[in-house]
Amino acid sequence: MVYDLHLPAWKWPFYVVRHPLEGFEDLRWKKGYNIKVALVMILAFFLTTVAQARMTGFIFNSDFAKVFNIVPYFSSTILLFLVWVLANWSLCTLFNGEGTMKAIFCMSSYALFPYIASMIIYTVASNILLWRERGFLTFIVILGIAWSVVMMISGIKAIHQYSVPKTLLAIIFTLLAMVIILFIVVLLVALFQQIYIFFYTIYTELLYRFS
Amino acid sequence: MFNKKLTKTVLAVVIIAVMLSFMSSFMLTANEPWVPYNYDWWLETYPVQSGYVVDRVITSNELKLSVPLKSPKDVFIYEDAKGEVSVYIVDTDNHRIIITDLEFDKVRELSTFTYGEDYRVENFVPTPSSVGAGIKYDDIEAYWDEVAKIGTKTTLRNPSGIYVQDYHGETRIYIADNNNDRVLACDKDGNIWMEYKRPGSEVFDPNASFRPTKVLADNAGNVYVCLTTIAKGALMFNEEGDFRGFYGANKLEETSTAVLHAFLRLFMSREFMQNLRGNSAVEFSGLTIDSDQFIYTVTASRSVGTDIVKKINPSGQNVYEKEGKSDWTWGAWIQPYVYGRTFMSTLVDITVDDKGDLFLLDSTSGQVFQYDQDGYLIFTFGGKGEQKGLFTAPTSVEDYDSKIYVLDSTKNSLTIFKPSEFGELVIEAMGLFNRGRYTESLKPWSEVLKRDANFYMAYVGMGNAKLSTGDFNEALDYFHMHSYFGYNLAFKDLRVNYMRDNFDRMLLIVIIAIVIFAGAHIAIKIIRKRKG
Repeated sequence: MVYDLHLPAWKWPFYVVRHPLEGFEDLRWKKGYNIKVALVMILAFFLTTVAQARMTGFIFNSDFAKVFNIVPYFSSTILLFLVWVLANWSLCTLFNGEGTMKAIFCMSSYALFPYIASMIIYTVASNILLWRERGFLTFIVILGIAWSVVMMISGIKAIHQYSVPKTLLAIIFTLLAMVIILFIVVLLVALFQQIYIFFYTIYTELLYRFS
Repeated sequence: MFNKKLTKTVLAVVIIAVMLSFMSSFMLTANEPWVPYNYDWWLETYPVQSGYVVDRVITSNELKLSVPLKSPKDVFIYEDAKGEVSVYIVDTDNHRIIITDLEFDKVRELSTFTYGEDYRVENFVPTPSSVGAGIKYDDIEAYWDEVAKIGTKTTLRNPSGIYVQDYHGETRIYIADNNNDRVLACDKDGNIWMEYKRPGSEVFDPNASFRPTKVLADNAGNVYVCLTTIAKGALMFNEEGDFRGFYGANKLEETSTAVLHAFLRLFMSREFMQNLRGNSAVEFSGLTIDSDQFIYTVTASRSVGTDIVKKINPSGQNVYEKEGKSDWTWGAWIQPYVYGRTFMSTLVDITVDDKGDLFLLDSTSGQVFQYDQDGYLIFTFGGKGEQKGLFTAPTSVEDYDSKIYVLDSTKNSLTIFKPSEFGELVIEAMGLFNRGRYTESLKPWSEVLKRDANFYMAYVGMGNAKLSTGDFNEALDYFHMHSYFGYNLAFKDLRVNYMRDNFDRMLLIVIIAIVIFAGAHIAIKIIRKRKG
């Protein structure tokens, strides 16, 4: 079957989802990356995560509904995604990867598509199903995650033009790099807090002296 | 013009009315020194109305004792065949048993016991000719020592537990005589007919001491003895005084700690392993038996999380384990909303009332926790302190006629709680609820909710009532945030009803959608063909 690859930008995510193994090669060939589409995808990722926590049916809901704080959701979706992109870019530029930051950003967000879809289906279906029928939900979630993981692997393979073992290695090192980045960020935040407190104490001390 | 006298009268009436209204509000205010609470869906505490109030506090003065009570350890309330009720208090450090009635007027002491004529020594009568077949000369000496006891007197040394039983019309008293290493069985006048002693060394660890703390007997005459040194469960003796084995041991923790210990055992020394905590099951701190001969045990240890409370059926199996309540958290949660081992209660005693409610006594917080048959917390009352209704070292809890009796061993007092008006309402509703008469329980439950909109069980009860009357939507609302199980049931019925009412419409929509899509598909194809 021959596909017409002169696709508009918004159709590319749907195309790569239907071709999880070869789709990203076509995407790279046709330069179908689009920041706007990627941003919409990430926003959808964030919103569906929040929606899943808040709107899952009571029988399947373990959310602490007394308090709602958007920060954990934000950091576990958008922030984590950005760190992933940064780590992968900084690693793969060193290891002869061909992908640019834009390519990694768009590819990764497109790869989230099945997971987002599964979360939406989960949230809707959990309001209809009973506890006995929870197998369907588990199935949908596993399917979504597995599909996304396959797409992520094939995507990294395609945009960096790696072999399969090198791709897997790159992913492992990317995860390690993410941990290091997060560690340094936490360290920096703590340090700047200390510096801020230091200057603030000097300020208050001066205030007491001269008033 | 205002009449001066009339004005005065009106003023007086108004003042009296205002004062009266204030008085009534004062009278309505609860004056319990503790804050009754319960746990919500996320196990966070919230205050509820008081279910129990202090009825009486009995001290040595009320009992008119010449020698006051000294660290009493156990209390038991016993109703004999004639319906006469007596309260037994084990006055541990005075080495005696205080027996009184429910009004605490007639007080009797039991401190000296006589080995009665029917004192049963052993099953066999050894003679010198039977020596050899597993019987030694020592046994014969021991036998004649026992026979020589008949008619002599004996006293207690730090008794710590008591159980009184109506055995086919006769009263049997079992006393855990702690420092004398025995359990005495006597009649109500103190005539001993049996002594339960340390079993032979082939079944019982010779290094472990035999210091019975709590004792219990079932309808068949079997006696269960709790020892602090034995973690294999309670010791079970039959009516003849023979040791029949260990009964209802606590399960070992099958958590990651057990795996870790198994791993450590591969290369760590024996001494190291022995010093590890949580390595073995722990002993019971209290036990009780209900009218259906189920035995309930409670464990005080704070280092383990499994089998804190058990309900053991007559064949020795833990019913709660089958119901998935083996790792249930009983007592207080210090850190709410953290699953796992967050409890810090030291549960020292348990009692089960005739409705099947469990009352657990926590010596850390001084509270009594009332649970229903399904293990849901209903009320908490009591606390730590010096005021009436608070305790410093509670040791025993007992129930009779929906009143709760708590013994404190440092205040040397017996505190009696009775249900408040609200508590009685809840008990009535719970009674109907537990018997499955949900429709009838609708009225008391809605009354409970009117008085305390926070009362957790009322929502579950109302939900079940609505479920039984067929108001599934309302049931759903009541079960939301209160019961997964009930919500599931209500939702199932609701879904079935919805499908039954709307199936034709849904089918129609699906057919129309298919027709439209198919039509559009065909139309697009035709248009493309013409263009192409």
